Amino acid sequence: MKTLDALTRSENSFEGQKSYEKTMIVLRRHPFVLLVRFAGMLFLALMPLFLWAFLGNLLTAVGLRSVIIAAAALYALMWWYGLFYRITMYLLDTWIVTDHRVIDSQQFGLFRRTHAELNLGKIQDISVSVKGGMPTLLDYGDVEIQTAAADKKFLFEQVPHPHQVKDLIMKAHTQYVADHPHGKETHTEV
Amino acid sequence: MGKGTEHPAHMRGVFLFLAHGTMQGMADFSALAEQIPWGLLISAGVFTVFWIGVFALLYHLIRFGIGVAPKIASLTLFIGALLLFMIAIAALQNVRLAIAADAFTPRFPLPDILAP
Repeated sequence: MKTLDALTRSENSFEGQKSYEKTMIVLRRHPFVLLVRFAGMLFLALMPLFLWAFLGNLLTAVGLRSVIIAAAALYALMWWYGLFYRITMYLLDTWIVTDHRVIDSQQFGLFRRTHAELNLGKIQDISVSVKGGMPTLLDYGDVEIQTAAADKKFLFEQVPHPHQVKDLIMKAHTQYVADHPHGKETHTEV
Repeated sequence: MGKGTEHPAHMRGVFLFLAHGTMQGMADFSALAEQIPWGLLISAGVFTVFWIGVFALLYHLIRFGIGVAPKIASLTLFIGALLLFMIAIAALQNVRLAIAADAFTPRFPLPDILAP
């Protein structure tokens, strides 16, 4: 069905994308990181069930059954919101590599968002760091991009397959330098 | 006035007047409080906060999300929110507030176990 295509395919387009710019990869933290964040939510989901197991008979006996069910329904609403708040924060922390630039887009809460970008021609050095048992096992880690400016660094945190990401950025950088010999943009916006 | 000193006779009338006014005020407030549908107000507040929050999340996911995952997340969030909202409404309609209030009302005389 064509109407459901939006849920299965995407050009990975984004706000502020140039007409001649092509997205090469969109990165987020490894899903395992999200799983760790879900641990607290799982506990919060099970808590009412434990309470009901211990206090259910007592509450039913004093005639509070309907009140408890209503309270549980309101609690479920809040839990659902909390769950998707975490998912949203995870999904909106993105790093985009296009054939012209690298974009670091971070979401801190609902009303604070940072957006930084780096021209591929300004990349000087890329380093990868995989620390810890789980990151080694699941192959995720940090990719740090050093720019020409001494203090400015781009950090891709806990991204999957960091070595492949580094290779891809290096390849894109080489291609960009070859296409833009004097660092000047050859494409024009349509 | 020192410790143990009696209040003058005219002060007694003032105290009685204040006490009576306070009791009357409390009774009036109690009568007013009984007329306010607290359950409905609290539920409406929770629902309002919930839907504002859901709207904010959907807005962020749709506007700033890149790729397929945010679209699937926003659809799941919306459908789930709608279902849970309907369940919550149905659950609230079944609440027997009178029975619940009765459960919290102290009985007099107190049972033997609570008697001094």
